[in-house]
Amino acid sequence: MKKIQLILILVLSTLYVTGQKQKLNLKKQTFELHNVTGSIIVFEGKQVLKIERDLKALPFDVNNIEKTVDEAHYARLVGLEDFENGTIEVKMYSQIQDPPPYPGVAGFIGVYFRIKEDDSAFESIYVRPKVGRVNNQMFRNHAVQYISYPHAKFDTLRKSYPPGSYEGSAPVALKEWIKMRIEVNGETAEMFINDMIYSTFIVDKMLGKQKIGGVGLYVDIGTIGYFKDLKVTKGQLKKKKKSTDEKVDGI
Amino acid sequence: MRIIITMIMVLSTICIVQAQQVDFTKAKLNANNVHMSVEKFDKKTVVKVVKDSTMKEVDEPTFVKLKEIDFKNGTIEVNVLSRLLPNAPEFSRGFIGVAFHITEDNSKFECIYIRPTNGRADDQVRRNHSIQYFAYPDYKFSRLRKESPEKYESYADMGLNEWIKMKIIIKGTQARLFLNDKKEPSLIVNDLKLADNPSGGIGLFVDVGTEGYFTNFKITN
Repeated sequence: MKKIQLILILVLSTLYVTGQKQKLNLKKQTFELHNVTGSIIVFEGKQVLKIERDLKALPFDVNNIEKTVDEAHYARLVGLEDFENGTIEVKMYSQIQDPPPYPGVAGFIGVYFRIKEDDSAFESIYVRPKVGRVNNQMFRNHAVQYISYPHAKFDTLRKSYPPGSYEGSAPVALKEWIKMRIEVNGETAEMFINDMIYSTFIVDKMLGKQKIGGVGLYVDIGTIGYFKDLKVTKGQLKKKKKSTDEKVDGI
Repeated sequence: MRIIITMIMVLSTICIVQAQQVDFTKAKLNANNVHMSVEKFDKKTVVKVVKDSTMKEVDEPTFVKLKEIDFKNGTIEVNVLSRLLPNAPEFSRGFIGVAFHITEDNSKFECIYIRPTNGRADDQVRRNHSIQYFAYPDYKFSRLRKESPEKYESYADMGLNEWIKMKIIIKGTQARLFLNDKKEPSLIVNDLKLADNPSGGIGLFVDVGTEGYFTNFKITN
């Protein structure tokens, strides 16, 4: 008995020392945990990946919010390193930890893509389900967020661009399954919620220099995130239909 | 027994919500800085509304006002469809909506309108400007956008040449817009600028470049 314990400790500490990341298998997919804790559980009768941001591995500082959020805390899909264009879809469900670690949490959950091998750059679209149906229009208009790591996190984008450039509203809420589909094509990313015909959110010109890379499932502070049915389909760059609708101004 | 029957009668009278369907006939409508016609369109009787081109400013009292309507709190429902006029200027967005709390002399009113060309634009900023609230004359869209960005505007999926059902529920200082019978509001305004007005008229609003169609108008006080 003692021997087994010793071996276990040895194995675990080796993992720790060599920086090996925990891997979890969900059906045919393997996920590698980057600064999140996680497990495969049965949730509402289905096997799902459950993850939460690891605040020990990556501390949060309330006085330095932007620096300590929108970081590399996610579960990376193993075996796919060359996603450039195509479709990512996943079903996700967000719940807030009780008690919440910080009052500003909003159930942050979403997708990272074109992730550089060393996590030093990626693109992301995520949602804030807590504000999807609140009684405050401005908060509602922040239900979806695009970011480009590391130089264009949410607050930088809010401060550097006209309001609403990289945010929008969406029919999302806590504690319900949300199907998110992102269609990535060159500089454009369009997000569809719950298979609606038209996209709920569009980024016409993404800001990242990283054009190819991995795909991951993201949560941030305070979220207990559940994911299932991740499907990534690589595609060719499609020519954009020429818009006849000239952009004149923000009207 | 009699008492019970009386009670039921009284209760059911109370329970009847006063929904009022307004049939569009010219006699009931008053054009204000717009051209209007009542016609058949898409198998419906509609009011077609086009802004008077001599009116150059935007967010002005450019609407068809419904006569004999006095409305403060309640629900306004109307189906709208918007097209762009052949000579519509570039910044036209298909502006169409509903004005309410209109004073008798049209010098003050509030309005929620939509910009159908923005709903599926490639530019997220424009998408976020798909729905607009404003109050005339002091809080036009440009001022609200500058002073309180993202508070009086929002996104919803919509397009030109589509019937869009607008349902506006007004209660005190709050207005909520529901589109196409969705359960969730697409716009919430919690501080209506003219909520203190005793009550007022309702108008079918269009702005520059729009050929607007309105049908199935209903109010519930």
